[in-house]
Amino acid sequence: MDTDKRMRILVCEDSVEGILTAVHEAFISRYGHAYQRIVIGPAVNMDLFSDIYTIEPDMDKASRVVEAIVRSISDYAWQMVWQAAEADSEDKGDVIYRFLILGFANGSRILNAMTRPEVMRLHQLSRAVSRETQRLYGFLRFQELENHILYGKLLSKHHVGTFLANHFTDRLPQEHWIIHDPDRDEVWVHQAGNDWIYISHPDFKVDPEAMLSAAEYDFKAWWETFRESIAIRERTNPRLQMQMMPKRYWKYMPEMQKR
Amino acid sequence: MENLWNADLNEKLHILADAAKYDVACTSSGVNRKNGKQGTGNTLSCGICHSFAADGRCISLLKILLTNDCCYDCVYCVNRKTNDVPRATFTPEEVCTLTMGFYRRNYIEGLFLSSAVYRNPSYTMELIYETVRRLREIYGFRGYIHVKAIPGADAELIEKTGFLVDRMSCNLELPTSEGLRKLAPNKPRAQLVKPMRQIQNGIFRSKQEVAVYRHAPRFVPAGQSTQMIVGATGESDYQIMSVSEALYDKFQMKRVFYSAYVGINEDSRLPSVRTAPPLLREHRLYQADWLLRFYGFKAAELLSERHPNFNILLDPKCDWAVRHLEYFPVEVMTADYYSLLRVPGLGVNSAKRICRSRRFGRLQFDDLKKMGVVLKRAMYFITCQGKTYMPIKMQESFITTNLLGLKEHLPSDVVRSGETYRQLNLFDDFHLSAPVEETDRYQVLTGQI
Repeated sequence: MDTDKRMRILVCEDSVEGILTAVHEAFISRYGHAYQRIVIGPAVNMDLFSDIYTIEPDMDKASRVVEAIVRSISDYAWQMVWQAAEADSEDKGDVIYRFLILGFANGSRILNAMTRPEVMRLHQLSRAVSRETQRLYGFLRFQELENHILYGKLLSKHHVGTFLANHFTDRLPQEHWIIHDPDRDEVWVHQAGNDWIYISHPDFKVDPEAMLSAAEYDFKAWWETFRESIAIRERTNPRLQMQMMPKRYWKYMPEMQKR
Repeated sequence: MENLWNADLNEKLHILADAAKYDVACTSSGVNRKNGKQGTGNTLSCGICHSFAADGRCISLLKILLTNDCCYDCVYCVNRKTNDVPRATFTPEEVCTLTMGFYRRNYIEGLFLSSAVYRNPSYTMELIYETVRRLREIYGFRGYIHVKAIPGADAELIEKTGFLVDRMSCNLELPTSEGLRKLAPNKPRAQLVKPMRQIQNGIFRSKQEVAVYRHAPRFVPAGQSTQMIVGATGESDYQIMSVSEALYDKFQMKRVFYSAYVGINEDSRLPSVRTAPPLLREHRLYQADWLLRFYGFKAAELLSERHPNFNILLDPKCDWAVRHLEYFPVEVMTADYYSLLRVPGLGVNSAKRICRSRRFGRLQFDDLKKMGVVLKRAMYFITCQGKTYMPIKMQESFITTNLLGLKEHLPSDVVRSGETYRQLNLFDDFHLSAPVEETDRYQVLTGQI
């Protein structure tokens, strides 16, 4: 290893395209994998021995990386990389980069090499994201507005909105619905019979309370009645309830609101 | 009491959800069905939990009775006809309204419809069929539906219903026929088993048809399940496990559920109402149930006539392992999958991960830990490249002491009651006050495993 060679830090946007574009740059530059790192921007710790390169996301380059993953590793590997790229984690960019270096050299069997730290870490990240996705399939709640649109607020640690939108497109194809993530200012809008549309806009403000449909109050009350009646008093166990349904998801669940 | 045909929907929901709460099977798993652009809903084979009730049990389906107006007199049941409780009956239309409204708001995964026997079994089954038909055909509902097959109902009605729903279940109620005779005089064992056999045969036929004609209608695609009450009569765990094993082998059940008996009715034939539900026993039965279904154990290996009940202090797998030290230690680099599965602290996932990853290099104890192996239990039973994690005496007493030292957190009444491990007298250094592990603590109390 050349000790005088300067490190390159590739700073990319926090998105699947961003990370994969940086991976593309890293491979194409032929600078040497040992001398490059991928870091999620925008804020980066500067140091004297590295050069900083900011990489703009490029859909075309990213999709070429996706094709390469599917072709020379496997479809499943691409699913995992995608999930890992949506994780709420500092190191995901570099984990994906290191995993792909190994993966392009070894093919689909690399996913089994769990003794390698980068493979293990990729498994961990993708598992964390898929677990939260699974939970939110259940915990996301819709409210019906006056015009029959279903409006659901999303609160999640990882960036799982796209996975949820795909799920609900198959589940409720004949409904108009909106999934809104107020913390990330993102909205997924679905019109009956169509695919969803993604909008990222800081000024998307809705006050659903002001325009709920009349039936909404009935259904909320019935749901509350049902939940209270279905519990067995002799087995009450709030700690177990909290373990299965952590408190951070309670914010937008009507049944967990204090009256 | 008078039947509230015209009661307010909220009141009915309260009565009929409350009456359904002792039914355990709130799972929505076992079948994948995409929506296909029309209607409402799909199903995922992994199942989805939508909420958790105050008792920590999952709420996945809208679990209600169609009616609690029963003509039977089962001693353990809250809805027996001699009990003075408010009675109510849903109309099929009301059930549909609730299901669709809840489903659109993503409160539930589908419907679990059970019922008391109103007038006679066939009449009740007809009502259930009508509700499900309406939901599927008029409302275009494609989510999960689980219904009870009412024992004694007309076979043709069960057949028709089976083509509309995802799962059917028929409760065994009590593990033995003596228990049934004593506590549920209107439900002879033969009558309970008949619809089970019918559903099993229906599923078998349907699978063959689907193999030839891909779009043939599917009969109960998510399989059938059953449930029995634990602790109301005097069966041993061995009897219960043997019954479960027979149900899995001979009836191809998807699941057998166990429900700890909660005292409701005061009766000389039942345990006192003040007896706490045997939750830890129920937990041990579920653990053993998993061993039967996924780990290749047989009921006769875990228990025997001489050893008829599970050790309340040790989980069934540890209990088996310390009594069969001749199989251990197991070398993780070479042992086959089924030997790995028998190691306490290793599960299906970690055993699979070991089998896959050991081809890439030598596994260290550190790697095992990252793969999800619970080393504090597994360390007594495995070696990595010929070495144990630390010096270990392969003696039952030594290992048992250590396993009990890190014991799962047991409910305080079990510890206080002074009930101790059977072999306590074998060793003196037995201590129950060691630090406990937080994670197992709440699973111990429930069936949530």
